Formats: sequence, structure tokens, C-alpha cells
Amino acid sequence: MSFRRSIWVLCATGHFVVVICGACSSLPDSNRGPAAQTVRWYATMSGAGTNYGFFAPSVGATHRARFVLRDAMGSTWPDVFDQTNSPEARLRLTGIVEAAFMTGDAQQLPEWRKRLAKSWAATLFARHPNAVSLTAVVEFYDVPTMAEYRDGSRTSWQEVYRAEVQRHSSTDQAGSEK
Amino acid sequence: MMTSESPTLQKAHSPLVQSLRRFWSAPVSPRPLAWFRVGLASVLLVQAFGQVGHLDGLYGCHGIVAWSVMSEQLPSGVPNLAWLETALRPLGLPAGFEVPLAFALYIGALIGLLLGYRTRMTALLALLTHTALMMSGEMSMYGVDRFAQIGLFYCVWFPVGCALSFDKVAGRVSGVTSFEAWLGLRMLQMHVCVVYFASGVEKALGEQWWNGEAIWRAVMMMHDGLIDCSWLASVPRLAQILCWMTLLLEAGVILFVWHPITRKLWLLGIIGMHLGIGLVMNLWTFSATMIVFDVAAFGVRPRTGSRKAPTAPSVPAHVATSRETERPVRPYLQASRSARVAESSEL
Repeated sequence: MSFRRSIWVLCATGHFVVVICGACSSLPDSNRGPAAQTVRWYATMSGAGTNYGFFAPSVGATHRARFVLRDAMGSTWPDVFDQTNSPEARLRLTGIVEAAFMTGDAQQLPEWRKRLAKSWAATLFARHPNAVSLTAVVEFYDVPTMAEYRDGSRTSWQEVYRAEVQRHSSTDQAGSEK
Repeated sequence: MMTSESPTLQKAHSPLVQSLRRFWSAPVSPRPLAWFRVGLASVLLVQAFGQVGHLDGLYGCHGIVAWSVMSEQLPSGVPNLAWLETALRPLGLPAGFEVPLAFALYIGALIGLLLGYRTRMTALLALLTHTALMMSGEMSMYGVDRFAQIGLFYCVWFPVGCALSFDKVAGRVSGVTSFEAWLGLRMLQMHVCVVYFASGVEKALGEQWWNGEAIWRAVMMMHDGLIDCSWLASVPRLAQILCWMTLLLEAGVILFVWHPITRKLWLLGIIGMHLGIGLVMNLWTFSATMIVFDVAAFGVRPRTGSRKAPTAPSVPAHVATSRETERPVRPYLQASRSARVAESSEL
């Protein structure tokens, strides 16, 4: 095997090792020094750091966010940010809520969750200039087991998070979270 | 002649050893990788057009998830749209111009990749713009974006433009069998194996995939899905069998894909599974991307050096005989040379 081919095979082997580490979620943490940072960078750029546990080990629940806006006169009206005719765009917009709440990040990082709710609110306030406040509600789609379904239980939306946001300020009501 | 060969050499010429030798060393044609390029670029183009009209919301600085929300979680040194925004600022362009610019470059690069025009360069541009969009809209990403990143990275490094491309027509690349095509195809095959095996093993760790609840939940959680699947609750055994089949297809990939017969069965099964996912769960682009990976890796004949040479033009018998007598060539090498000639004339 020529030198050039040997180099190619060596690079491919290294890449494959990163692929396996990514699949096992055992890539080194970035805080462990420049070498680990380089591996992480390479894993991100090449996609080799991807974990393939789709719908594993169990299938989670779909989440959605809905908003109730209020104007200075006290009138209220609902809106969502994932209403679109494009299935691809809808999938991504719905995915934003799931990325925060399905993964557990939103529960573990309350300060980050507050910033996220404010970001959603900013989008809605830009869309509705006359709104002075809004209530953001995140719900998950509760699916009963097959046995429960046969016994009469049905799917339903269950609230997991609620935040009140004022224009120019934010109140993440700790007591309203479920 | 056979009698003069040692038993070891005879053994080395056994079909199994020859197959292994072909697998690990015989150059392959770039056709599977070319189909991979065409398939991936097509799916990503369709996916990209589906996002038009929502670019600011998905990727903008003040989008649904503002950049400031995710800035701390971004890996350092990876391209993102904030870089482009900083670079464009001195030009006095309107705020938010970086999003349509990056997206237009991404679309252009994908079209170049699809056509195989300056393939490596367009693949690199597609990879960089895709990375920047992915990093800036991190929370709206899903499985298809991870596979797009993997696929575009392979398109940069492997000879995906050596067949079915403008580069080939223009004579910038050669379509003959090559070591690089072999390495690219084997890498793709092994990566697909890791994907399914890891996915299958991780699923097998969950109880839902053994009692059928996983399929039930997956089809029921698509509350706006195309098909009402609530009837599945009355036939739980069917849900359980579907779960087991998924585990078998995914975790069993390493056993199934290497033999031609089981490979065809596996490919049919896995394509069927992805079509089912697309139909019931509306994940069409994800399904299409996975089908592209699977078919390119295991469904397109690579035409290795082992391929039988096409029927030669009629040559007087004594001439053919005399050539064979004068230059004895080991059978697998002879076939390799013939296939290489056939490949270059065909492509």
C-alpha cells in the first residue's frame, strides 16, 4: 500500500473511531483540554459525533407551545408560532419546543428557560404590536398505554409550564409551573 | 499448473478468501457514491424549499430562539451566522441580511452538488453553510440535519463527482474504479451499520420496544398524522411484532448486509420501515435521507474488479489462445482489468 493510501486509511480509521464514540455518547468533554476540544470540533463539523438513539430507549411525548396575548384594554386572543402550511417548517417550529422540554433542558436550566420564553414572547410581540402582555403555555401530548386506551382512556394535552411575560419585562411565575 | 501450487495458495484462491480480498482491496466504481450525491442533494433541496418563508424565525438573530439564548451552548470554532453577520457589518447591508445570503449560498451549493459541477468545492460550500445554519437554528434541528451534515462531509472527501456529473462530462475527473471510491463506499457502509446497530441496541434497552408500546406511542403522538392508528390498541400483538421487527432490522444490520440474499431482504425491510415512518409520522425528509444512505451504501452495485468482463468482440480462436498462453494472469486480476476498461467506456 502506498504512503498516500496509508494516510487515507489512517484518517478513515480515526474518523470511524469518532463515529463509534459519537454513537456511544462517549466523546471527550470539551473542558478536558485542547485535544478534547479539537475532537469535539471535528465531531461537530463532520457529523461524526451524532448519537443515533432516535426514539430510544423509549418514545417520548410531543410538546407544543401556545400563547394568549392581552392588549391594554384587557382583550385577549390566542396565537401559536408553529402554524404554517409547510410540513417541513412546522416540524422544525414544533421541534423548538420539544428540544427544550422533551430533553429535560428546560426543567434543569430555569434561567435559560426564562430567556427562551422571553425570546418566544419577543416574536409574538413583534407580530402583535398592540399586545402588552402574553401567557406562554407549554403542553405535552399524553398518550395512554394500549391497555388504558382499551379501557377508555384517551389522548390529551397536559400543561407542563406556564409563564407570564410583559412587554419590556418578564415574570417567570415559579408557582405556575407544573 | 494447479498441481504446482501449494495448499496454502490453493486455499487463498478459495471463493471466500477471494471475496474478502475483493471487499478489502479491489477498487470500486464511483457510481454508488455518485448516486449518494444525487440523492442527498435532491432531498436537501426539497427540504430547503420547505423552509422558505420561515428563515428569519428559524435562523435569524431575533428569531423564535434568539441567538443570545443559545450562544453559550455553541461549540467554539464552528461556523455560525453570527460570523457572517460580523463580516458583513462593514458593508452597510441591511440587518438580518446574513440569513437569506447564507441560505441562497446553501441552495446554490446544493444545486451545484446535484449537477456535479465543481463537486468538491460546492460540497464544501454546502457543508459550511449548512453548519452555519444548523448552529444558528440549533433548537429547530432534527435527525435529518445530522445526516445531512454527515453526508455533506463525505461529499467533500470522497469522489462523489466522478460519475453522473458535469465534472465527468467536462473531463475534470475520471469515472474509473479507484481506491478513493472503495474507501468512500466502505466508510459509508460501515457508518450505516453503526447508525442502525447503535439505534437498535439503544432501543432494545427500553421496555417499550419489547412490549409494543413504542410503536403505539410513536403512531399516536402524531395527533395531526395522515392516518388514524388508534385501532392498533385492539391488536397489541401486532404492535409488539412491529417493534421486534424494528429491533431485528436495526440491531441485525451487521449480520444481514454482507450476504447478497439477506442484504436484499434487509434493504427491502429497512426501506419499508422508513416509508412507514414517512407515512404515519410525516417525517418524509428524514425517511428519504435514510433511504438515500441505505441504497447508496448497499443497493447500488459497486462493480468491483471482481465483475465478470463483458463478452469480448469476436477474435479468432487461435489468437485468443496464444495470448492466454503467453501472459498467464491471475483470474481476479484479469477480471479487474477487464472491468476497469468496461467501466471507463460505460461511464
